[in-house]
Amino acid sequence: MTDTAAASAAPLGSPEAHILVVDDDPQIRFLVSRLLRANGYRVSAAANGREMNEFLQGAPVDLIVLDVMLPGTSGFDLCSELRRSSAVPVIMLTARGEENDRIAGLDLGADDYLAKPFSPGELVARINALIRRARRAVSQAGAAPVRTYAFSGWALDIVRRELVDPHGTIVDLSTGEFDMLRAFVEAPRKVLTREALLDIAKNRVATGFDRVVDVQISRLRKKIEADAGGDAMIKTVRGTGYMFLPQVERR
Amino acid sequence: MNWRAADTIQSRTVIVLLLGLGLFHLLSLWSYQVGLRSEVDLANESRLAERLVTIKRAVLALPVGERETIAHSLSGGPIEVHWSATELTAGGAGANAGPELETLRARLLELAPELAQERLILSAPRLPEGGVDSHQFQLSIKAQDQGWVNFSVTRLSGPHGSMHGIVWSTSLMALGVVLVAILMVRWLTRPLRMFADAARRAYVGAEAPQLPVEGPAEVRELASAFNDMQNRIKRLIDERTQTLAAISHDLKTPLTRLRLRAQELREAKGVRDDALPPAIDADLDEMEAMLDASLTFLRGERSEEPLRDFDLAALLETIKDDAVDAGHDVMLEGPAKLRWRGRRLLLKRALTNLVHNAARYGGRVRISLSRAAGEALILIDDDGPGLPESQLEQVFMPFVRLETSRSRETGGVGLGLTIARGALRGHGGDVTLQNRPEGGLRARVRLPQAGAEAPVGR
Repeated sequence: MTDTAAASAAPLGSPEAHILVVDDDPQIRFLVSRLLRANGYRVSAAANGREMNEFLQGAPVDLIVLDVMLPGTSGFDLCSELRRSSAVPVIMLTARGEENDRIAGLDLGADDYLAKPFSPGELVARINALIRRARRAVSQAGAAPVRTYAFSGWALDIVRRELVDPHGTIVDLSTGEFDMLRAFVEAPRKVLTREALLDIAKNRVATGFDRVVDVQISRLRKKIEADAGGDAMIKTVRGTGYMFLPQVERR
Repeated sequence: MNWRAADTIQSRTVIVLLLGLGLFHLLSLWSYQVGLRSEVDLANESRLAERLVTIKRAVLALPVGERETIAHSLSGGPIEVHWSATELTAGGAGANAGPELETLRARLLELAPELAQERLILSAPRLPEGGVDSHQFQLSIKAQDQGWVNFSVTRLSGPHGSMHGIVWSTSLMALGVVLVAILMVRWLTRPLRMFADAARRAYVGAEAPQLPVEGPAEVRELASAFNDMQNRIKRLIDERTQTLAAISHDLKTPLTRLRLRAQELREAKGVRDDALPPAIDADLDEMEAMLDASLTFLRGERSEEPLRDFDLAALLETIKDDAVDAGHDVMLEGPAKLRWRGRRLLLKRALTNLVHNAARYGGRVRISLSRAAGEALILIDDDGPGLPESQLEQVFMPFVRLETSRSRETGGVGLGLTIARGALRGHGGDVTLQNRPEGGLRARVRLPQAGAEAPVGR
């Protein structure tokens, strides 16, 4: 499933996006490069921070896949250094799966975080999502990076991947539900087609393709509409898809 | 003495002090009493002898006709005097009553040798019911010319009046001993209570609590030895955690490569077996899960996750949905929302482990969430074969894998339940397993509301 998903999403890069892979393990560099090339990206590789900086002086890239545990300067330091001069999307890779590490990485300006050993499909999906978001951001240039989306008293924290209800209680979301809600709050009061939502959902879930969007939406509704007094937040648009009704404030 | 009843140093000290001091006090009181009594007796006897002599002289100095009158007027206090022509003592002439009076007679003669010149008879009056009145005695002295001077003496008792005071002073002293002992022991054992608290806290936080080195020399030494031990334990745990982090990092790199290679295998032409890449993925999943479980277990209760408010119902909903997506038959009933406080990710892992366990061995799983007496109660029922009673507790031990059909097909390292129980106990709750009468196994989870009063790690 992952290969088809990745392959269909790849032509996003038009012209093909250029990705820099920074990892000290030659095998991983090689394998990740080959995986991304197979998914339609142009890929370069660097073994450490010095090589990365040298490369960046020569050619602009659209996205950096950055390992945390690098010899010399760590990935965290490279990322915060990079952020001073560039807004290029960064996905951090680390062997440490600790929650604290993830938040540290995201606070330092990384756009996403993936713990080793990651699934190749997951990596491709996250890269696709980031590139897509970056392309959209270019059209609305100057917008500060959003950390929290607030709607009807709720808050969706992108860095911590937490949904907090109006009483300050964390409402647990599955990865799929989080991705879907994020897509909604990024485009409030717009119809998201079933196809677009399916694209998001099927990166995560293995169950029947057709039903997966409806299942995820109903689960999401159950959680966010539970104490809203029956006020619908997600509206079904017959025949096309779904629309997120509340006003969303970006912080 | 049953030492169980006196369990604390305080009560034991009080008992020992009371017994020791009480015994000592009684002994000294006794010897004091004995000494006092003989002093008093001596004083009484010499006074008695003196009076006897004086009265005798006064009576005998007068002519016989006036003797009874003067005798009467000389009576007073414990002594009553009569004059008679014949001796009046109860025992009859020459009768002596008992060794006690014999001793008294000898002492009187010793104190007043003058009395020995005449006949001196002592006797005790007989009581109507027989026997002898020990409080009184009669004494007759034969006059040189004629008749007898008869004395009826009421015996002076010992210093009985002061016994009241002694009882009071003894009670007061005992009370004082108890109070002083309690205060002193409290002061002395304060460091011990601090040790107990510090030892309990030691594994909860990442920081080893240091005891203040103060108090008497023995306590100071104990405190510094305790601190050394704490630091050593912390160092050992830190080293272990670092080693594990290093190993896990080193293992995760080849695991990542394997994942990437499996992906390539999937896309490669000419792979005959379509089931191969998914099988490799499944193996990798299992290895990852084992690595993860071991790390979580070894990190132990030292969770740095903060206490947060979260929706327990939504948490269970996610766990249920994930299990359903993984192809299990899981149902959840309970409130749509239940606000709770705790370490959300730790609890999610614990409950996920329990649900997976039930789904893996038990087939259909039913989760129910309810709230009773300030605690959340989560029941996770399956309809699998259950467990022998003897193993219901055993399965919570780390690395225990039972030699039954229940464990044979499993992956994992036997830490899922251990981790779950550790996390729940860390919240002041617990999980127990029981066989349901209608068949299948029930995991019963109690989860109190975490607050300031429920220190994590107990």
